Amino acid sequence: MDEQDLVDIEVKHDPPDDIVDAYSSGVSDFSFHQQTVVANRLLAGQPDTELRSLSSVDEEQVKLLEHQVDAAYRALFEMDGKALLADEVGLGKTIEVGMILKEMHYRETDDSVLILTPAQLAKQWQAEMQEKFGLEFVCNYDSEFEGFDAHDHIIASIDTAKSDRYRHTVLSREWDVLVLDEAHYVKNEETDRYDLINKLTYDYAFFLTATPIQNELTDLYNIVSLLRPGLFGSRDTFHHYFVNRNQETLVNRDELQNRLGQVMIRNRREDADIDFTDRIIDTRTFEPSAAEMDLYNSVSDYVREAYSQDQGQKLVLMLLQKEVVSSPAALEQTIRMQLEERNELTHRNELRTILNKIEAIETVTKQERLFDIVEEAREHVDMGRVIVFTQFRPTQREVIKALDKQGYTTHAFHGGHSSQEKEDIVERFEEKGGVLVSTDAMSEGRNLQFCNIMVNYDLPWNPMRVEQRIGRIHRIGQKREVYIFNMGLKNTIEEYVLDRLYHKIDLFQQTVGELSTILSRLEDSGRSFEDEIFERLVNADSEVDLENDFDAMAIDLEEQKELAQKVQNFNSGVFEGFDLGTDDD
Amino acid sequence: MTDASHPVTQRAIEGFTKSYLRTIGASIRDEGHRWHVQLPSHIELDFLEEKEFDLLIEVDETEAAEGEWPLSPDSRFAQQLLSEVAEQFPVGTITVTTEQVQGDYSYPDWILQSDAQVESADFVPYYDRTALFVLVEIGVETVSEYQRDFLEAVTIDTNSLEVLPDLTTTVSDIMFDPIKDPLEPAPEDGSSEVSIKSLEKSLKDAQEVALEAVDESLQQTQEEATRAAEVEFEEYRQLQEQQLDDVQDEISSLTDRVQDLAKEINKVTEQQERVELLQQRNELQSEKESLESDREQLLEEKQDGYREKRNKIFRRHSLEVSTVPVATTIVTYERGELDLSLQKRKHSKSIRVPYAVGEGVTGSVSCENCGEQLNRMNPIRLTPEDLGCDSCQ
Repeated sequence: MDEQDLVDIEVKHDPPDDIVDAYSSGVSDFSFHQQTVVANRLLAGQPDTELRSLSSVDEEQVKLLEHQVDAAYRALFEMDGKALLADEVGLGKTIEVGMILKEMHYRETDDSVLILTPAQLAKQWQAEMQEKFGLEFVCNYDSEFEGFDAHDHIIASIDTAKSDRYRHTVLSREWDVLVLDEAHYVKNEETDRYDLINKLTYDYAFFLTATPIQNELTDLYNIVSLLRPGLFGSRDTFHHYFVNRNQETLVNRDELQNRLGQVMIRNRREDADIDFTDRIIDTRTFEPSAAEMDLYNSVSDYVREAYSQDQGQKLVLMLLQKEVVSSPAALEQTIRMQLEERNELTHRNELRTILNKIEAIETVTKQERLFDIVEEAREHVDMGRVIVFTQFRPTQREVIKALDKQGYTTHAFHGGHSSQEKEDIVERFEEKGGVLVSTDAMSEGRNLQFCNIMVNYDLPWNPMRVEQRIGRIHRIGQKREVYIFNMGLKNTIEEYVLDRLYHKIDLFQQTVGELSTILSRLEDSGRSFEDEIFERLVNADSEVDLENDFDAMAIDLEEQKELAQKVQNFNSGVFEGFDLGTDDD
Repeated sequence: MTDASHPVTQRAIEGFTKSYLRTIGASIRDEGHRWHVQLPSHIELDFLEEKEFDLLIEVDETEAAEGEWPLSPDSRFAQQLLSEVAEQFPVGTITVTTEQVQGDYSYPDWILQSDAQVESADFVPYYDRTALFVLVEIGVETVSEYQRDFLEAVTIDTNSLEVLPDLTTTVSDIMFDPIKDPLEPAPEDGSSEVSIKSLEKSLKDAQEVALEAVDESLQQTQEEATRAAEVEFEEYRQLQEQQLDDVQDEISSLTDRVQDLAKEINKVTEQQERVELLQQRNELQSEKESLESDREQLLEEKQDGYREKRNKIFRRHSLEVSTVPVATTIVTYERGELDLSLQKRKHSKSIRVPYAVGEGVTGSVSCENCGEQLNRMNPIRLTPEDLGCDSCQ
C-alpha cells in the first residue's frame, strides 16, 4: 500500500500533568508505587486469556489435542471470537468448536447459539456436543423443535434455516454465537445461503471448512468477508492484488497469508502429530442357501412390483429390501406389521408367501459365519472383544441368542436404553470382554477404543453411518491395528453396495472427515445416497442393467472423490507453509 | 521500549490482590477458596464500604452473598481494585545497584559472539545517574476498528536523555512480577531528585519513544482502517455510477417523450389541446434539464474521481492516537567501568569498557588494535600476543 493512499494518523501527546502534580506533592514508598505499576500492567493486559473450562471437559469422552486447544484459544482470545477454522480433514474442527462453546458457556456469553450444518451432519453435531462437552442443543430434526425463536441453543440444517418458513425468525433474532460448518457452501455471494449468513446478526462467529477455496480465490474472499468485512478491501482490490488473470495461481502469497492469519487457523495433519493405527479390512461374502436366495428373490420382486404400483410406500419397501439381507427375523417383523395394518393396498398373498419362505429357512448363513470371526477373535485378541453392528433390533436379538447358545459372553446395546444403562453396558463390555452386538444407536461420542475388532453384520446404505461405526473404535487413542469385517450375501444388493460402491470409494479406508466432503458434494446436488441405491435396484430391467447402473453410480462417486481431492490439493498448495503460530514473547 | 501489559490471569489477579492488601496492612486469612480480609481501621477502599469481607476464589458473581466478593480477572472487585490502585501512587523511586543484579553482568554481543571466555568481571563505579522509568499508555481509535490500548515501558536518562532499553528490562524484572512479594528497594541517599523541568522533558521524550515502539502495530491498524475506508468509498463509487446510469436512462426516456409530444403538437388542431400539450412539454423539458444538470454534476464528480467524498471518507477513518504517561519511577543507577578479564585457552587479557548497572556496556567500543568498531558481526578476538577483532586477525 502506498503511503499516500493511507488514512492519516493524528497523534496527540497528552501533557503529563498528573505525574508532575504527584511528584510535586511527594514521592510514594516503593512498595506502594510498585502496586500502582503492577495494577497498570494488569489493566493493560488482555482480560483473561485462559481456557477456564478446560478442567471441566470429561477426558473419558474427549481427548483434547494440543493443536485443538491452541486453535480454540486463538479463535477466542486472539481473533476476538470471529475465526475461520480451516484445519485439514480429520483434525477435529468440531472438537475445537466444542471447546470454544464450552468456554463461552463457562463465561456465560452463550445465551443464544446457532449452529448451521449440512443436513446430514446436524444430528451428529448434536450428539458430539452433548456427549463430549455436555452442551445441550435442540436439532431441527427433533420432535420438540418448535422454531428458531423457541429455543436458545439450536443446531439446524442451513437449508432449513434459509427456507421461507423459518428465514424470518432466524434473521429477526440477535444471536450471541453463530457456528457455520462446511463454510465453503456459502462461497457464492449470489446464493440464498450466502444471503442468509450475510444478514444474520451475531456477536461471535466460527466458520469451519477444510477447503476454504473450492474453485477460485474469490471463494476465500467471500467467506472471509462475511467474518471480517474489509480485511481484504474491496472485491476489485482483492482480485487485482492477489489473483492473476487466469485464476490458477495467486500472487503476493505472503501478504495473503499474513492477512488471513488474523482470521484463519489452519492445522495440517503432518504437523498435528496424530498417529492413526492401520485399518485392516476383511470383506467376506457368502453363498446364501437355496432357501435364502429364494426368499431374497421373492422380496426383491415384491418390492419392485409394489413400488411400481405405489411409490408412496417407498420407505417401507426400502426397509424390506434392507432387512432381507440382514436376517429373516428382521424381515418377518416388518412383514407381520404390514399384514396387521390391513391396508387395502397391501399385497396380502405375496406377503404371506414371503412369510412361508422365511419359515422355510433352517440355517441363517451369516449367523453361522459370524461364529468363525468371533472364534478367531477369541483366539487372538485380549478378552475376545468384538463389536457386531446391525441396523435392526430383531437381527440383534437373533445374533445374541445364537452367540449365547454357543457360550459367548454377550452384551446388547440399542436406542431403548437410558444414558446410564448405555454407560453401564460399555463398562461391562470393557471389563468382561466378549461380543457387543449393537444397533446404530451407539452415537459418535462413545469411547470404544479398548476394542479393535468390528463386524458389519449388515451394511447401512448411507456411507456416513459406516464411517461412524468405524469411528467408534478407530479413533485417537486406539493403539492397535483395527480389523473391520464386512459380511455380505453373494448375488444380493449387499454385494453391489459393498463391491461396486463402498470399495470403489475406498470407504473403509477413508480418513475421518474425508467422506463427508465427498457426500456433501453429492448431496449438495440434491440427491440422497439411499434413494440412489433404491431407485437403481427397483428400476433395473435386468441383471446387466443393474450392474451398469451401479457402475455408473460408482463412477459418479469416484468423480466426486477426485473433485474433493483436487480441491483439497489446491487448498494445500495455497496455504502451504501457512504458519500462524503466535509469538510467545 | 517494552510491552508492559500482563495477561490478567486468575493467578496474576490473586497475586496482585494479596500483595496489595498486605502492603496496605490488611490481614488475610487464606482458607483456600475463601480469603477472609480485614482492613486496618485507617484504610479504606474507594469502592467498598466494608472493612471486613470475604474474597471467593472460583465462584460465580451470582453465588456470592452480602459481604462476599468473587475474585476473578473479570470480577467487579478485581476491576475496581485495579482501577483504584493504578492511579494511587504514580511516582516512586528505586536504586539499581550491583548487589541487586547480584554480579550478573550483561555482556555485549561482541563478547558473546567471541571465541574468548569472560574469566572475571569487576565493576568500578564512578558516579550515580538518574533515569526515569515511564509507563506510557497509548490509545488508538478508528471508526472501523475497535479501540486498542498499548502500555509501553521506556527508560530515559534525565541528564543525557539517552534511551536505556536494558535498564527498562532490569527495572521491570526487579519490581514487575505481580505474583512475587514486593522487593525491598535499596536505601535512598537523596541523589534521586529531579527538577520539574527535567521531569517534564524526560516524560515528553518517553511518550515519543513509546510511540515509536508501537509503530508496526500502528501501521497495521492504519492499513486495516485504509482498507475499510476503501470498501466504503468503493460502495459509494458504485452507487454513484449506478445513479449516473439511472439518470441517463431517465433523460433518454424524457427525450423520447418530449419528441413524441412534439409530434403530437404538430398534429393537433384544437388550440386548447395544443396549449395543454405545450405545457406538458415544457414541464418535461424542465424536468429533463434538471436531470441533465444532475448528470453534469455526477459526471464532474466522476471525472474528479469523487475526490471530495474520498477525502471525507478517509478523514473519517483516520487514526486518532493519544499517549499519556501513567506512572514513573525515578531510577538511580551507577555508571562506571567494567573491568573484564578475557581468556582463551591459556592466554588471558584485560579490557575496560564503559558500563552502567542494569543497562550493560554503554556507547560503542572500538578494537584496541585496529580501531574498528566492535559488534556482533565483528567480535573481539584474543591471541597469545594481544587483543584484536575479527577484522584485524
